[in-house]
Amino acid sequence: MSSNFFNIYSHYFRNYYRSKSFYLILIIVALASVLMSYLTFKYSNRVSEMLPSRLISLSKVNSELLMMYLWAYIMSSLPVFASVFFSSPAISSEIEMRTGYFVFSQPVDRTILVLAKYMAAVTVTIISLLVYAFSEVISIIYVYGFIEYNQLLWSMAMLILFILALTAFTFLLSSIFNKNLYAYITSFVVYFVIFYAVNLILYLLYNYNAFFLLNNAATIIERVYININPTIFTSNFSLNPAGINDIILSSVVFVIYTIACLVGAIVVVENKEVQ
Amino acid sequence: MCGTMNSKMKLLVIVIIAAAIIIPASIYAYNLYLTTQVGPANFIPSNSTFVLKINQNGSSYYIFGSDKGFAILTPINSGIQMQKSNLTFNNTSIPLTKYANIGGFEVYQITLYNIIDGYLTNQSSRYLSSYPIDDQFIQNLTNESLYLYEPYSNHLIVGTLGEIKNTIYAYNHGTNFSNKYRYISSKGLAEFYINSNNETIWGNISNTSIYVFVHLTNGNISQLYNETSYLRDLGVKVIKLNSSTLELIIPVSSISKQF
Repeated sequence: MSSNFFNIYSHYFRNYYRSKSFYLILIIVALASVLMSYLTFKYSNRVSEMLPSRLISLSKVNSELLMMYLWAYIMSSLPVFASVFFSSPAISSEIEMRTGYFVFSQPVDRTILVLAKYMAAVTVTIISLLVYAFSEVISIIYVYGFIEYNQLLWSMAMLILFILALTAFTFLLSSIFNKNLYAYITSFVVYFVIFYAVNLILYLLYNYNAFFLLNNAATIIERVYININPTIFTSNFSLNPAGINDIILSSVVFVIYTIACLVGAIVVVENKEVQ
Repeated sequence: MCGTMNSKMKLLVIVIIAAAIIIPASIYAYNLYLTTQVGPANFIPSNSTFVLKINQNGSSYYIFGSDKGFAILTPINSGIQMQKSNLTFNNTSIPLTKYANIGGFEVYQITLYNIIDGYLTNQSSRYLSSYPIDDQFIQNLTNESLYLYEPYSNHLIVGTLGEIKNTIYAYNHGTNFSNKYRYISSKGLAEFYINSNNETIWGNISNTSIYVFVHLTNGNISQLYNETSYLRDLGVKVIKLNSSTLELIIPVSSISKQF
């Protein structure tokens, strides 16, 4: 069973990193890295201008944390594109391209197939984002002379959990649709329109922070530096990091999404008839 | 047929296992969410030996302490304001010195000298202009310091360094007062919570009465049975009394009678 898993994982991993999608994502990530490096070099002296004037002048540590917050703010959006590019067609393409006739008729457990393909998509998403993380570390150390590794590691750990959850979520959508385009569009619309709209409605009408939404939980990637939630309108502003309870809460939300969506995808694929 | 049954059974097992993880995780997440709403309870350490909450004009002020020292959590309002490099308290400006970044929080230092000097300077401008103040005398009076930081928007924590570190540790590690906040959650004039190795005492003070609940973890307070008639004579209402628990209400009128 484990050799089956590894063989399928290797096969799809090779497929992913040889695909045009992978190079497209790499280009997008590299572009984002260049832009953020430019911002770091040009804006590091003036980063305190972001703050309300009543706040006390920034220490070097807080200036650096604020800059890392900006890096993480962009970073938390990149997995959405990477995951959707790699995962949205994961199941739907097998139906649309009619490769499902061949793949699903193999003596391979469909659950193993889904899990191996899922892990391959997670791996290439993480690899493509390493370029960004590497650029961040180099730029920050070059400009500030040091880096807050503790917060950086928390941010990276949260990023990996977010990728696991988001990839599972797009796998579920991919398993529902028989056409890639529908899976792509639905993934983007649900994440960037539905989640954000629900978040706004619950917050503005009912003053309720929708912690259970994936986009809201993903803000922990930047909030481990400074606890400002960019999905909520508020005049509250302080430079403190998110506490351990915030980190655990987002982690639990990621785990719930991962398990629920993966199991949902497995159930759909196991019952899918290739026509 | 057998293969289909196995497949269905496998899916059923997967779904049951997933549900067994997701349902408790969701409940845990919701309860955790309630504790992450940033407020006073997140910064008051769970190991506080005393917590006093004073409600005034819609604002709550918290005074708490442990073996590490004491601290006060106060809203920033018209009476107290934190601005660049100084703290203004009732028109008295006190200079702030950046002390350190502790656990992600910028902590500032104020010396008692600065507080007294600022206060007297403010007073002298109004009342004491004809009495010169010996600056060296004040400086000699104390070089002790208090420390402060902004835990969340529009609030300040001021206290001894040990207790300030204790509050930041409580927030960053979740060892805070959230689970005990119910002891001081009512909206009277004040609420209090006292904890030691042997007893926990909590209660609240209103315009008309003082409610007190005493719980002993070690020891016995049943000897107070003999005193209940005396307490009742004083107007004290004993609600519950057994070997480990004492619950009573003391009317304010009964206290005023004694004086």
